[in-house]
Amino acid sequence: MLSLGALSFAAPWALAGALALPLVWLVLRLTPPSIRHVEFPAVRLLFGLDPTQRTTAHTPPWLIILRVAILLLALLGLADPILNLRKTDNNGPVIVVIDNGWAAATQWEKRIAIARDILESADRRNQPATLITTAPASADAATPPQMLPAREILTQLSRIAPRPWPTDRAAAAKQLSALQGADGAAATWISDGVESIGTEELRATLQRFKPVTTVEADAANAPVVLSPPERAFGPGDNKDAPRGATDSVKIAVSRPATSASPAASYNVRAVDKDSQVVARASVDIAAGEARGNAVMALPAELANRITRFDVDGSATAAATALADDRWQRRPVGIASATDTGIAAPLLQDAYYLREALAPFADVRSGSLDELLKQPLAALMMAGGGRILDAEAERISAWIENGGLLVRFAGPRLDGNVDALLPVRLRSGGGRTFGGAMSWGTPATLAPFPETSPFNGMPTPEDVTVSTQVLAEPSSDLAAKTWARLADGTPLVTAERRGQGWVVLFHVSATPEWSKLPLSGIFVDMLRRLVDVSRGVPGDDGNESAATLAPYALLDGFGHLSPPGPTATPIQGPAFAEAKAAPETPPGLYGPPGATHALNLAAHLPQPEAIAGSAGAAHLTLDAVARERVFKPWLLTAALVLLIADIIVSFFMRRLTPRFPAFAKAGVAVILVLAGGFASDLRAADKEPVASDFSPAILAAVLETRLAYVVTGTPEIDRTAELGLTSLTKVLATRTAAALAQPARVDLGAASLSSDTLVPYPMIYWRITAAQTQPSRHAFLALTNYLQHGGVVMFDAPEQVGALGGGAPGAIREKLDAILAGLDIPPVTALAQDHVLNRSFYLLHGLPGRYADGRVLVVRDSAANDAVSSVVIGGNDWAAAWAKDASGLPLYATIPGGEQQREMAYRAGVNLVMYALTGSYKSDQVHVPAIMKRLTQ
Amino acid sequence: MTLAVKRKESHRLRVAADAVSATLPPLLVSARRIAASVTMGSHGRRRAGVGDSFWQFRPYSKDDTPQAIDWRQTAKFGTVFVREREWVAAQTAAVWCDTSPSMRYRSSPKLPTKAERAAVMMLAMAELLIDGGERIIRLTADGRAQRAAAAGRLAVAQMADAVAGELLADAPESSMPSFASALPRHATVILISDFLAPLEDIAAALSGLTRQGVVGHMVQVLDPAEETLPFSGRIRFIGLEKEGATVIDRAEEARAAYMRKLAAHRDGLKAIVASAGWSFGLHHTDRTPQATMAALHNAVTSHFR
Repeated sequence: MLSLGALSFAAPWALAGALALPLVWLVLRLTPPSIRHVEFPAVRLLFGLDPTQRTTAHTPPWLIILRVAILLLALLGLADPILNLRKTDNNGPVIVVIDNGWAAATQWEKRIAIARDILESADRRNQPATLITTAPASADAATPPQMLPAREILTQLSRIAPRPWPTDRAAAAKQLSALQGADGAAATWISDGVESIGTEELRATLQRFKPVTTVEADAANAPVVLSPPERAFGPGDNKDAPRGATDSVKIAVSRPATSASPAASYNVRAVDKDSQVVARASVDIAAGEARGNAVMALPAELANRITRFDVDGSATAAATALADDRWQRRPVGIASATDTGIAAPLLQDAYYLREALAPFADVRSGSLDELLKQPLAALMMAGGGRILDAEAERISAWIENGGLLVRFAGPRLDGNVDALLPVRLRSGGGRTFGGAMSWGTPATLAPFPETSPFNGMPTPEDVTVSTQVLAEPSSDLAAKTWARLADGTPLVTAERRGQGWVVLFHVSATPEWSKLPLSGIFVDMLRRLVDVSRGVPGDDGNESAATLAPYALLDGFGHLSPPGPTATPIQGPAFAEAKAAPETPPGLYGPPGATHALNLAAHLPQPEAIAGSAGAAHLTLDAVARERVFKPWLLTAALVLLIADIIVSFFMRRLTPRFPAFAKAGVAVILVLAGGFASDLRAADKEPVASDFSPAILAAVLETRLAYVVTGTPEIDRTAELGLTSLTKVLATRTAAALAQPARVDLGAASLSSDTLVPYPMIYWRITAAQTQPSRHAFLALTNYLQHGGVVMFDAPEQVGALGGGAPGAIREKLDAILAGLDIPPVTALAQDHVLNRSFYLLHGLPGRYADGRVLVVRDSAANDAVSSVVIGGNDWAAAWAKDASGLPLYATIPGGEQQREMAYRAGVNLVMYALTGSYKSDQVHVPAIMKRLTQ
Repeated sequence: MTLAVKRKESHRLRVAADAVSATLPPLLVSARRIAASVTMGSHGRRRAGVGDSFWQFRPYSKDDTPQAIDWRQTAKFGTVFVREREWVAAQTAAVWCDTSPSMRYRSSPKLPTKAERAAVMMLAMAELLIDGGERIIRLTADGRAQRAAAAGRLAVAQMADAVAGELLADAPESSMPSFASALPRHATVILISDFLAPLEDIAAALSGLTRQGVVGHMVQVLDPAEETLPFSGRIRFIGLEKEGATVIDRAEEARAAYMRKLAAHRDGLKAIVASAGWSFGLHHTDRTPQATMAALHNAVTSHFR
């Protein structure tokens, strides 16, 4: 072995080859370049030209230099030069103890590089070696360390990674003492510098070996621990909190402190799920101190987006704190019956709720049915209306489990419509004060009661209430009241049901009834309400016995990844006590959307630095001079230059391949292939699109037609069909409405949904006594149809002897039973000036086969373009319309006469025009007045 | 002969035939194009027609036959006039182009071989001569007349056919045949070659023609590489006609000496040509043949007059 300063040669004899270099130089110089053969016709003329300058034909000098350089590099490489060769007399085994707990992730590359360096050095000297890791391994990789050739230990080294849990040095000490064939070994301990179980034992065990070297990170690079941040409402006492900050997050960073620890500033980042930094906080730790605190003040919307905190520049599991779904916003559903369109958002209840909830909650909109399928913390029901019995059961069960139902009054909440109200309401409409015709003034709010969750909020002075629904007085009304008006009437009432709450706002969620939805206090009230909710019911780790399966786990560097096979689920009740360990690594546990975070730092003690020990050489990570081997680099350089030389030689001999020809051929092949694919694609386009619509739906969508509900009585159904058919003919002859053949609606069909009903402008439903009660599914479909602009005409003649009658009053009972299953707004008798009476013909009443029946329509329908969604009557219209194939009426009209039949047709025409054109004709009432004005 | 060999042979023949038919039209077409551009040049057609055109009236001499008297002129002037017509006996021109291996050379794929260019020039000349009413004889590679003198367009086409066949066939051994076959008296000979053979060989080959007293025109066709020797480095030059090979260490330095020798060779050629009273032209394959053709045509037609 030859040494020149820090540089050593492992195989110096190879350098002897350099002696041959001058000779090579000479040979290269003299060897003429290779001869080219050229066919030449005028060769005779060249015969006489004697080559007088044969010796001047030299290889170009740069080529000689290139080739000599190749030779030199190859010789140097073979000589195997090594920088900083570790000079040691010890030829015994080599022991490397490496800490791979959470703290070792800082400067992990350097730790591995030092271990690799030691092992490669041992490999060069053919020394046996072993590698001992101090962090407990996962269950699958628990093999006791052995003395092996250093080459095999190097492959072990490439497999180890820092673990996201603390080290157990006592176990490592035990492995070390049990090690066979370790006599006379040299030991190196690459320490993470953090005290843990059994540090002293390990140190004592290491004393057996000579020499012992301890390698540590310097104090400035000590690992840090980020305690899981705590979120609190209110910006805290932070002086420089940004405007709009509503939440504060307390952040604590600690480190193993020694007297040598310098002052440090750590940048804590809050990151959302898209890895974007939401907020930053700077934590300063003074020199020699161990802990530092900071408060991050930020708006609730931003705080809700946070999924993890980490310390910038410190990629370890302990410097990463995950925020789980419990940290984030709670899911709140908004179910609104009147949320049918976007034409007038400012008139819709859902708009105000959504705006008020958006800053702090995860708002989900949709029908009750869809919402109840999702995990919800609170459910807001706007726009009044009753809850159908079938859904009421599901909602009740959900409330019992801890759900929070918040309802708002409205025009449709009239009396005790269902059981899901906290107090009994007085029916007969709400109370109005301070209207244009009233002496009273709008009411203001009283201070919030102390038992209310709103307690402590300032009493707003600008909120006035002009309309409210009133509760029936009862003994417990005061206890149930969370907010009241200045006159003592309740504004918000609540009742506990099981683990959940039912809350009622006695005003609507629109500004029609009060100014509450426009006020900032509304946002705060809803926020307090959402805070009252228990989170997603059945999802609280402390009380649920469900096991939480690992969802995503942290590795030693603080990266989230899908769980491996060794991670085990945690029982729900045990989650609070769970610690980061090989079986339960830190990370997120539980189903998506309801995850629980297990953070390493939550159960870590304050990290403490390992006290220095005597008898061992101490080095810092950066101070270790690493052996550098140049052989591969030199040989690679020689090879690269050799390839360059070959290429140069090719050029000098004009042996370059003819690339253009190849390129042209290649381009042509590619173009041909591309053309082939393109034609395939075009062919694929032409394949017909399979239709998944049934012919009935297609027919309903492609042509407008009337529909009737199948009752199950053949005679009635035939009458309805014939009646609608002749009405369709009458419409075609007298009006512009050219409708197609009427359709049947079978309420018992499995394919029935609001989607299949929506194409029909009007459905005629002749009630019979023998009819079966429709299923819940059918009721849902019909309710949806009515809320989205559909019109159903109920025809229930009560006259004795009416078709399908049965016992007196049976049809009426059936009608009541059916209407109870539907969400129908309050109805009133048809007024003389109602649009229905003048949509085509000017009529006085709507006669059918009978002329004396009452007709009911929706009282004040603001929705659906002011079209009444139901028309309830008993004049047996279809019987009056029905004609047989020869054009003769099937049933006589009562009291009689073709005059009445004609009026029945006119009533039918008005009904269909009303369903098709809506309230358009109501404007026509004013046409004479408008014309009069215009002509003046 | 096995079936396989027979099939292979027939395939080779078919391929060769295809190649002939493929090269023939371009050869003829390019020859005609060149001929057209030459005849459209400055020297227009001097005679209105061939054989039957009026030449001059001349007073009757007693050698003339009475049939030669132009009675109309005689009546007009009172003196007896004889109508003399242009001498209509057509000249015969023998053409030859070299198809030896050295002519198959080209220094760059962008250039035609010397043999191709020589064939095109020969055919173009034949075209011009036929147009002018002359008769042509093609001398084959071994120096003999291919057939009796012929006239008409068909003769050019047949000649093109034969030249193409010769170009596709294996090259003959020597470059300069001895032109021994008898040519018509006062025929014109047009020889197109690179004339790189030794001067003595050339003089010997031409001696048969000069003895017959024919008038000749020589066109030397050279590749530009033969003119400038654009090579450098150590090169072994190999002759194409089994002349042998020579190694030049630094071709770039031999260039001047080569060009001197080439000039000397050309001077020798010119001396041979001048002693026979022939004309000499030079053509390089990287130039268009029009200029050379114009000069050649001029020289040939001036002999006819």
